[in-house]
Amino acid sequence: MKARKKHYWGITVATWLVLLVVWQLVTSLKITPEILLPSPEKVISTFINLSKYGYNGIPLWYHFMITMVRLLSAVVLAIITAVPLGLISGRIRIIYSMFDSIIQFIRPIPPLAYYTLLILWVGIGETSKVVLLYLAAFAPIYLACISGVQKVNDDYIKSAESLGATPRQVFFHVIFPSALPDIFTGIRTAVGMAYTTVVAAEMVAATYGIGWMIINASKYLKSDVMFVGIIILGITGVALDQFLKVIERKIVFWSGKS
Amino acid sequence: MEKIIEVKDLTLTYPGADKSTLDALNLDINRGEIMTVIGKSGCGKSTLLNTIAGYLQPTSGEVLLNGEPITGPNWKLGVVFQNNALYPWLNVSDNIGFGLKMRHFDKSKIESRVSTLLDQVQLADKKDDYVFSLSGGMRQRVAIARALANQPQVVMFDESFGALDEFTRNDIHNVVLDLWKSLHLTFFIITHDIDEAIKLGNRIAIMTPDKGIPIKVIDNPYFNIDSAKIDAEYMKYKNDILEQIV
Repeated sequence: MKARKKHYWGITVATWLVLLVVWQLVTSLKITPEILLPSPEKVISTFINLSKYGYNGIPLWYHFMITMVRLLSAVVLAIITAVPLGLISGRIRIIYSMFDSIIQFIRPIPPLAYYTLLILWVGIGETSKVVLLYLAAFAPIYLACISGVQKVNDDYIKSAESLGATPRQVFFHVIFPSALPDIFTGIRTAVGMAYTTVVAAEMVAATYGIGWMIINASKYLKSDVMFVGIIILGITGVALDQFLKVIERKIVFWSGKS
Repeated sequence: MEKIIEVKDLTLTYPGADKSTLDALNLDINRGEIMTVIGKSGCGKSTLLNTIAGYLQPTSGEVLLNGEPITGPNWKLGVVFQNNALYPWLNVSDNIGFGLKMRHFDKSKIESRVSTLLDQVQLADKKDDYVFSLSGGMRQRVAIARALANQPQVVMFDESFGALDEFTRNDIHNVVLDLWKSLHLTFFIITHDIDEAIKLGNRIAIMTPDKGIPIKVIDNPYFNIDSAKIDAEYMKYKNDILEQIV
């Protein structure tokens, strides 16, 4: 069994402390104007104010929740569709030939390039935002599933067949669990991809959401609000990834041990 | 002796290859025997096993089980792989009972058969452990128990003991021989280790396609020999086999 690599938490904490001290020094010594880089105290007080009074008349928690709902609906939709399609594509070459080139074509296109088209096609409401995030999340899961299926140990399949498993049973009892570690890697990447697209999704025709809050604050040079939004997104992103890692360790407990 | 497997004029050429891996090979495996197969690397030992197991379809010729053509893998032909191919997401009991579950056996029947097999391979205390926490020898015992759970008619071993250290290998040899004695099954064992072939085989099949002899089966007077009884005659027998192979 592989020993888990040691993490020097002290060094991590010290690095963050150094960054905070440098930030504090730069702002205290007024090396940069406050409008470009607000002080840590200003950001904290803005956060407290936003928590109490909200932004633009909408509570901060609502901005946060709406962003999370958009993000998670898109990721859940991507999981529901990309996992089966990726698993089948990995196993059946005809299906792979049908879908892979389309997904490879869409994958590298920056979401903003087709966002306006999406708005024209599905409307200016929530749907276009969720679809944009969904498209960002789909490819990583789909590709990870294909890779997971193609990596399945051939002897796993042969031994299942020799033990009396039907092709359907081989798929559900052998290929699917074998591919699970890759599926989880794909989901984590997808959440990251959707997360990086969330600000873009809330740029157009939104009136709430953390991404929208950042964009709106930038128009009025409210850098303290922008910092609050960015820090919320950063912390939530790390928390989501850690949450997925915990679930991954519970479900795919054998990963890296076989 | 009653034949359980008949290999008739078996030729197998891999797609794109200009030479056949197996060329007009004939072989009979008797019910209840242990046949070991030995030959140089690349002589087609594993190809032969894969064809008998139904993983490969012959280019020409046929393989029969109880007189019926083998058209694909099935539970009557158990296979133990070199890397054991156990499922790391299942514990020891679930790995052993996997085939029975796929064949929709009752839960109580599965539990009872798994429990018997756990006793036979001396792993009753490991039944709830995951396979990645077991040693190589223990994993191979689980793989053997899993192949036996379906009560197959033939159990095939594809260089299944090659990755084990000598002490563990001897231990597994004894487990295999004990199971063979108690279950009266037919074992077909591919190996590259000549001592293993002599210890485990009632008969030894020697594959030397490079000398124009696809396979030759000889009787083995030293089957299950006690290492203390190894003498000059044994060494001569072993050298004779080696000379045929090299």
